[in-house]
Amino acid sequence: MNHTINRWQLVLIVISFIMGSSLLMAPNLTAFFSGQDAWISMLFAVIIGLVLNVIWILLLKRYHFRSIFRITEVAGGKVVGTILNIVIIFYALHLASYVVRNLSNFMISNVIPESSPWTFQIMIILLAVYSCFYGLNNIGRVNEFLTPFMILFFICSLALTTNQFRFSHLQPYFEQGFLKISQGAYTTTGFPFIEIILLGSVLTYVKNKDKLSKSYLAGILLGGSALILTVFIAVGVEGAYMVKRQSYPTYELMRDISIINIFERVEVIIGVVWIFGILVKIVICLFTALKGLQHLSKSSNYHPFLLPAGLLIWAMSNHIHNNTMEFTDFVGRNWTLWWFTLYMIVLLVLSLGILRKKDKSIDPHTEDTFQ
Amino acid sequence: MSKSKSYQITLTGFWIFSMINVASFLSNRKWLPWSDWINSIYSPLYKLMFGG
Repeated sequence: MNHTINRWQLVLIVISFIMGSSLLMAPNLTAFFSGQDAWISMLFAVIIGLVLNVIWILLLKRYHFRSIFRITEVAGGKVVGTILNIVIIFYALHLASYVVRNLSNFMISNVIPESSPWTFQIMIILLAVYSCFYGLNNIGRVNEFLTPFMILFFICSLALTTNQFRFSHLQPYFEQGFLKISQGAYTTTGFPFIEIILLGSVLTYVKNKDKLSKSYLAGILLGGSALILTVFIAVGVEGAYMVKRQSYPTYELMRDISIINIFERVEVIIGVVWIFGILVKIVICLFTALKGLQHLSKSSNYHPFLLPAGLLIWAMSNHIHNNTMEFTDFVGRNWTLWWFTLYMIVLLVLSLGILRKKDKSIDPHTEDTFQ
Repeated sequence: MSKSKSYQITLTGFWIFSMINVASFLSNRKWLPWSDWINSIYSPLYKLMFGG
């Protein structure tokens, strides 16, 4: 297993992590509350996400970017560290199951309605397990090869819809008021800007850590900008009323692409971009959980945990919610607070560790086999 | 010895946890209703923040 990645691969992983899941859902989640001001909500969410991640990365830097599981143990002590590590593992697996469910919801509601959700769930989980089996370097390289194409598809798809863009759909600006705009920003702050703290388990494997913080934050900024652009164009083309009514407005938006009756029904291209982002997100979640389990078990590799982790994600993805409406309502209502709780707890433990000068006891040069 | 013990405990515990979730799903029973628990904690907070 090779886990080493370079800084460029990290930037692309961050972009894929942010665009996976959120690309199709962000316009609906924001516009539901803030209407035509959805893009302003998204802008706020990106700014808040960046601030939270600047604090996060500065703390990890103090601990020399060691694995989050090692850091919590050093900062909080054996008992607190172990409990917190179990919580992080649960969060990672729980997130993976939501992302898997999100994919199957999308496939059976928009792409192949007559199929079983299990087909898509099992296929994507098998792919993620296979990727984790070969280590982080595997997904890093696949992502490095495919992301530029995905970004190209994404930009071309958006560009082809701009002939229907109307500024009048975005006006009047700030009509919804601050509370509604912040409610729209709230839903997309946790999803995906706080979830990304799971990459704390990945940063330790980046080869050259000199400008790692800048690369990480640049990835968030680029991914966040893509989301702002998506929401802006979705509302500008479809109008806030239609965006509110659709579960996956970006996908519906691409259905409107029509160029001289030849270039039509190209929406599946954005579906492919989204599914690839989802795969990267599931792999990172699974990888984080597996590294946590490896750390807890003091094992030399995480292979024995691959099968139960895959089964757990599959089971959880099916019985977390009864239907898509319940799923979307839950994510919009609770997701940011749920993730912000973890963020605050880890932040508190790491800050207390720094006050107790525990960060000095981590040797930046020795390799920890179990981290 | 200690390494082997922590390995066995973690792996066994994780298999049990996974199998409880799988059995819960396949038997269509909510033994571990994570979403309901999360909802019961955070929904009142959300209502407090945005009024529902």
